[in-house]
Parts: sequence; C-alpha cells; structure tokens
Amino acid sequence: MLSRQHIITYGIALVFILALNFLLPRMMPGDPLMAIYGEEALVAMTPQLKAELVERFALDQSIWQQVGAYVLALLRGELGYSYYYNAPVFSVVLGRLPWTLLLVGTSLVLSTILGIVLGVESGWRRGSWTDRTMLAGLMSLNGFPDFFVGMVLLIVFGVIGGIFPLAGALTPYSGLTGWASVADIVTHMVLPVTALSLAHLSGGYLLTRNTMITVLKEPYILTARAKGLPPHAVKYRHAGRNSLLPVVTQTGIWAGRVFTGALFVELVFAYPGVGYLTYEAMMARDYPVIQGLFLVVAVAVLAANFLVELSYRKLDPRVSRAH
Amino acid sequence: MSLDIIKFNVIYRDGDHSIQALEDVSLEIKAGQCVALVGESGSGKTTLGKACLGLLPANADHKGEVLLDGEEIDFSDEVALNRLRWKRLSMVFQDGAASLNPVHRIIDQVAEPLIQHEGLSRDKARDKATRFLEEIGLSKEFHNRYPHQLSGGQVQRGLLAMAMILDPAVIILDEPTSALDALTKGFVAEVIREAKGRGKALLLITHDLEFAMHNAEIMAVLYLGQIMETLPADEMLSHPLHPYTMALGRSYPAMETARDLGGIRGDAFYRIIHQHGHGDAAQYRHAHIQVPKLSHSGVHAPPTGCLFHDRCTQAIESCTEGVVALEKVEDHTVRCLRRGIVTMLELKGVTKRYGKTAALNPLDLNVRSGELLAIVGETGSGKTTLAMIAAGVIKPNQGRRMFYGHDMDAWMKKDHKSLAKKVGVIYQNPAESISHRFSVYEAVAEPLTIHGEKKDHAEKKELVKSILADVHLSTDDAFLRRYPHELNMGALQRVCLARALVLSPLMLIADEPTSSLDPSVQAKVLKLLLDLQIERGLTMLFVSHDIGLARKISDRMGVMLAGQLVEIGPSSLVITKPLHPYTKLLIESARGNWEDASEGGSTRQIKIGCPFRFRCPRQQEICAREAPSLRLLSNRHVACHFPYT
Repeated sequence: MLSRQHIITYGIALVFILALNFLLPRMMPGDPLMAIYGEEALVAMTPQLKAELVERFALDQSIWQQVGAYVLALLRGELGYSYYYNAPVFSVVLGRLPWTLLLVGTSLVLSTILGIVLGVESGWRRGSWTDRTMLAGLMSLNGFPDFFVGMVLLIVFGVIGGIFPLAGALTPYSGLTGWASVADIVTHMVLPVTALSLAHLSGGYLLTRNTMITVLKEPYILTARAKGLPPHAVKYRHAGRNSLLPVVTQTGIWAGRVFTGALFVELVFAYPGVGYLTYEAMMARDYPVIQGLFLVVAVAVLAANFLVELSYRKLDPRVSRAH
Repeated sequence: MSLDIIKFNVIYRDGDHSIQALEDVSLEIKAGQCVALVGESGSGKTTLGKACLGLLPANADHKGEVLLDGEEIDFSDEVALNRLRWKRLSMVFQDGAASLNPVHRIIDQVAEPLIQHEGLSRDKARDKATRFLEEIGLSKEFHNRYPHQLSGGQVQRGLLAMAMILDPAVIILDEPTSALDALTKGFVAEVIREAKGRGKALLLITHDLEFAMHNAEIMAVLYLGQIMETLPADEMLSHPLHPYTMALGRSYPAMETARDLGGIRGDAFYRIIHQHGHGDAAQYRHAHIQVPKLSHSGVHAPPTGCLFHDRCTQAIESCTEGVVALEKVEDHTVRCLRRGIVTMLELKGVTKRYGKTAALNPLDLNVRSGELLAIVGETGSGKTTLAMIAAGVIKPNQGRRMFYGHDMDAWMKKDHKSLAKKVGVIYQNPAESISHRFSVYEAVAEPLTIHGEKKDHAEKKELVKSILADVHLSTDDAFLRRYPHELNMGALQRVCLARALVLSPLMLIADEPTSSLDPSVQAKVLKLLLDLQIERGLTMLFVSHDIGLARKISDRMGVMLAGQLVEIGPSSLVITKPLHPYTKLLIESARGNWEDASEGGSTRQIKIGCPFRFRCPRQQEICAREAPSLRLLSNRHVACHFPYT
C-alpha cells in the first residue's frame, strides 16, 4: 500500500524536524541552558540543579553524545520540564491536547461535510438563484478571520443573548458528572466550533463547487444520467465523489495545523487548548513548552499528510499509481 | 421494439446566435434492425443520439417527436424519462474510458442500473453483472478494476455490458469502434449481430463506414444536421446517389477501396442562425452555413438552398435557392435538387467500324458527375475509340450520345463550340499534342482565343497564369515564353492539362495521359489530376492500359475487350474480386503472372460467342454459341457466362 519511497520521505521529514528542534536552542546566543529552559529557570537555578541539567543534556560532552541524549529522552517521552507550570512539558501539552482535538476535530468534520454538501448543491445548480446567493454569502464570509467571527458570535450569543457561556471549556468546580458534564462541554463548544467552522466553510465550499462544475461536464456524468439514476445519485455518487479530492487536500492541510490553527479562537474564548497554551508559553517565554509544541505540531502535520494520502487512495483509485 | 424519430430539430442557443444542429431528421429503426448514422464530425450525429435519451444540454431547444415502440417520449418529464432511460433505451457513449466514472469499479458501474431500476440487492446485482461481463468477454479478474486499469477494448466491453444489462429494446451505439483495432472491432460486431437476433433496434453512430456497411442494414448520411441520403448500407461505397455520400465514401480508407483517399473540398463548420435583424427565429429560415474562410470576413454563406452546394461538385444555380426536400430515388431517399448524382455522359448502343474492322460493338456507358471512371483493357480493345467518341472527336456509326442531359450529336450540329468548351481532352503524347510553334502561353491561351473568351489581354494572361499555377507550373514570363521542346515531358503534360482546363470544362477525358512519363513524374501528374478533380469537381474518363494505375485513381472501372465492356463496377470490387476471367487475367498480368495469358488468336473478329473464349480457362460449350450480355452481379455489371463468384 505504501511504497518504500513514501516511508523514506516521511522519515527524512521527521529527522529534519528533530534536528531543528535539537539545534535551535543550542544555536541561540548565550547559555544554552537558558535557551532550553528560559528565564523562568534562572530563578530556581542552583548550582546543583545546573549540574544536573548539564548532565541530563550532556552539555559538557560532544555534540553526538548530546544528540544521543536528546533522542533517548524523546524516546522516553521527555520533552523537557516547564518551570513556569512546574510540570513536565509532556504532561502540560498532553493536558491541553484533548480540548483542542475536540474543538478543532469537530469543526473540521462539520465544516468539511457542510462545505462539500453546499458545494455540490451549489455547483449542481450553477447559475441559479440558490447558487448565486450561496456563492455571494460564503465569499463574503471568507473575508472574515475566525477570531473576528468568534468575537461577533461571542458578543451576539454570549454577551447580548446570554445563551452560551463566555469562556472556558467547562464550568469550573461545577462537579457535574455523566451526561450533564457532556452537555456542559457541548454548550461551551458551540460558539468556538461555530466560529472555526464558519471561517473554514467557504474554502471547502468554493473548492467543491468549482470542481463540481468541471466534473459535471465529464462524459461519465452523461452516462450516469443516461442510466436513469435519480438526481441525488448523479450528484453525490458520481459527481460529488469525484469532487472530493481538492477538499480533502485542503482539509488535510488544515488538519496539520490542528493544534495551532485554533490559536486565535481559543484565545477569544479562553479555551484551554493547545493554541491557548502556545499563547501562554510565548507570553511567559516558556521555551521548553514552545519547543515541545513545535515538535508536536510538526509531527501532527506529518501525520495529517499521511492520513490524507491514505484517504486519497480510497477516494480516487487513480492516485495509487501517481507519485 | 422500434425507435421512430420524426422531424427532429435541435438548436443550440449561444448568445445572440444559435447553431442548428439537427433539422427535420426522420429515422425509423425497426426491431432487429441496425441503422447507421454517418457523417463528418459536427454533423449532429451524437446530438441525435443524446436527444433520444433526453440528454441534451440546457441550451438546446428541440422540436419534433421520438417514438419508442410507437409511444411518444415526453422529454419534459425527467421522472418519466428516468424510468425509461437504460431500461428501454440505452446508449454506449463515445468517449470510452471517459464515459466511466474513474472512482468506481467497473463491476459496480455495470451493476448500478440493476440496483436502481430493478431494486436488486448489491450482491445480486453484482452477480448478474459478473455473468454479463463474462459473457461479453471480460474475464473475472478485471471486474474489480477501475476504468483507468482497463485497456480500450476492455472498457468497450464494459460499456456494452452496461448498456445491455437491463435488456433494453433500443440501444444507441455512439462510435463504439473508434478506439478499437480491427480485431477487437469483431466483438462489437458480434454483440450487434446477437442483439439484432434478439429483436433489438440499434442506432449505430459512427464514422467507420466499413463497420457500418457490414453491421447495419440502412445507412443515413447526415450533413450539417440534415439527412442527405438514406440508403441500403451495403451500397454506401458501390452505389451512392448523393454527391456527399460519394465524397464521404471516397474519403474513407476502407480495406476494399483501392483508390487513393480523396477528401471533400471545402469545410463544413456550423450552421449559425442569427436572431438579430431577422423576425421569426422559430422558422429556422435564416440558417447560414458558417464556413471558416467566410467567417473571417464576416460574410455568411447564402441563407437558402442546399447545405452542401458550396462543396458539391455538381451544384447548379438553383441549388442555391429554396429548400431542398428528401425524395425517393430508387430505393434510396436523397436530399438533392438534381435527384442525386447526375449522369454526365451516357452512351447507348454506340458502335464504330473502321472499314471492315469493328472497333466498338454496341456499347452502353454511363459516367456520373464527379466520378473518375477508368477504362482499362488490352491494346486494340477499343479504349481510345471509346474515349474519342465520348469526347465528340469522332462520330459513332450507330447509337446515341447524351452529354449533360442533351443529345450530343444534335448539340454538335447546332453549336460544336459550346460542347467542346465543356469537354477537355488530354492525349497520350504531350509532345505531339501541342504545336511546336506555340509558346506555353500561346498553347494555353489558344482555347480562350478560339472560344472568344477573355478578349482583354491582361485578363487572359491572368487566367492563363492562374491555371498554370493550378497545375503547379511556373507563372513567370520567362516560362510563358518557352517552347515545347524546351520543356520536359512532365511539364509538357501539365501544360496540356492546363490547356484542357482553361475553359473550366465539366468533363475531362484523358487518354493514357501518363504513359509517356517516367514513374516519378507520372505520380506527380496523377496526384495533381486527383487534387484538381476534388477541387473542381471534374468528371473524368481516364483511359489506361495500366490496371494497377487505374485502380489507384478511379472510383469505377470499366474493362474493355474486343470493343465491348465485359465488366464495369466500383474499382475496389473489380480489383479485389474480379468476376470476369479476362479481368482476372489483366490483374494477374499486371502482377507479373503471365502464365495464363496464352495467346488465343485475334479476338476482334469473332462474330458469334464470347470474344474471350479462346483464352478463357472457364469456357464451355455455350460460350461459343452465345455472346454473354452485361448483367448485374454483386454490385457491378459483368458479361460472362461463368463468372468467378
């Protein structure tokens, strides 16, 4: 299914990322320890701790031994220690990950599906009143960044309407359990998910609509119609299926930035995701966390690409031959 | 199970003008019958196919009816159409693999209609599709493949299986063979034969004339949206009645045709209907043929008349006016004011004697307009006499000569000049047929002088130069001043040709025009002759002793023996399957097999019986008693008691 060439490509990318992550702090001017641990660490720094850190990173040894120590640490799941959070970076990031996955994943699925459906319907009715309204509406929506949409939603439905909570991922200290806690999480999600989905909807929609218009001119669409298939079958089984590829590519690209893509929206809604964490870490100059995030995000991009490629093969059998 | 298309019109709207894609097309396809629709691309073949299924694009307006088993199809009701599509009327589309969805497996695409129309479960539908595909010759290992993983032939099998899976009564096949090699075409033919056997009505849209001839019963020739001729399919090459049908046949590289490809002069483009400035668009009266060369200058072809007239080789003044209707001629229907290809020259019972020697026994001959008829035969068979009688140079002892519908002798008596103007002649020896005292200019201009045409000197010179350019000769003054002895044979024969063409004759009679030329020059002159024939629509009578050469240039061939035509028919047939032993002998000799050419004494002075009998391997007792007369046999005429059949 996957050729050796593919595996090698992904391997090279991974090595490159790791190398960057390893080299960057060591290339910064000044004390590498400070670059690795940030100013925060200086406060807690004692000669004893310093000696321990130098030993852990093998800073007093050759560069290759440093590489070895770095890789070994990675294999143990050690991304470093955040003195700001006073916790290992790994657990800090891991604590935020589910929230972002939930938020971005939901909106990714929603906006992609909705974008495809709207695109298919709009392309099918090209030139009609429905098509033109949708096109105009989604084009103008495309012009607004997600945080702006988020702010508008927050003001309208949160501040004025008071329907949805203003911030966070769940009501703190509510002690809710079971379905009640699920409902609480969902209500907290509605606005940020809507903001993210709306912002990304038009991309998928426009791509699907354009591809749809091209695909509808293909001879096999005529064949499908000649077979006496009802419109929905022609639209989705024959035309829609062939219009998927570009949207999947786009979704894949976006999915790669799953942890940082929601940064602004998480900020607006004070949502405790990875994006918010990135912001916090940057504000606090918490280098270990920033580096950890860099690694996680880069690996996520690779993984998303990989998944998209897998789905290509499923969606369009012709791809398995192309490189 | 029948499909009836009645007066079907399709117009594609496109901004301020429209394109008339089909006009009053009527076709009837009965059960068990295959009707082939042929014509150049852009003639509207595919439009008709799609229209039957209600698949015309949104910018197409249609008028007229399509009856399926006598019941009119309502193209406005999509739901009803969907019930009918594929179940009763299916189509094999022309684009091969592009007609299949790239992301679905072939088996699923074949099975899809079963699920849709018959409510079968996916598994059952796949089972049935599997059987169907295997029957049509696509083995199981390919069933789960995607279209891009199949070869052209396999795709075609898939498309055919898909079209037949619901066992519809009517199947439209749009170019089913265009992507296939000759061997693979065989299975399409097999499928057609089998479907006809089961009483299906088939519409075969194709430009593959040979395939159409062998697989269809009736052929309809479409030109710019009009049916020009419907004819029995097997007469496509041997007996076309419409000039367009003939030209189309001439352009097709059928295996049987021996003649070099001809092509059709000019180009057909689109028929544009302009709505601006004209009142009633619904009348379709303002249809223009947009011809590329005209479209540049913004001028359109005349709005009325026969659509083909500007490319037709026999068009007359009245062809440019009015509306031409379809007419029944013999067992064809023909849309031609002149009721099909006219007879240019007709000889009836013509004889010629030189003293006691009979050069021509009573002989009948028809030369159709725009065709190249070759007369072949051995020395002394009367070829040249025939040509000279046809040209009006010598008088026959008996018989009638008709030229262009008029009695030639009466015409000559009254006004020899006007007849001579319409017939150009080229003789065997170019050096002897031009006076050595004439310069090139004088030789070519002489006919103009004789007929009093182009009195103005400059005009005359212009015309002479343009004719010289037509025959690929130099037009500079130095060349015009040259004398025959200064030219080589090839150039000289071309001067003769220019001289014969300068009056724009209707017919050209050439008596061994290339036999004094070496092969390379001969090839050039013949190519030129053929090009001129296509471009000017010349009718030609070409006399040659070289059957090999005649076969490369002629549409029909007449074989002469002892002052008689013993076999006459389409050159392809005469060459590939000669019926007369004499024809066979000529062909074999041309191939270099002289064993059979035993001398059998003089053939001319035989008064009783077949003149060929002494040399004939098949002769029997009756051949001595009774001279065979010409009779129709497998698409040609032959005079033999025991022809090769």
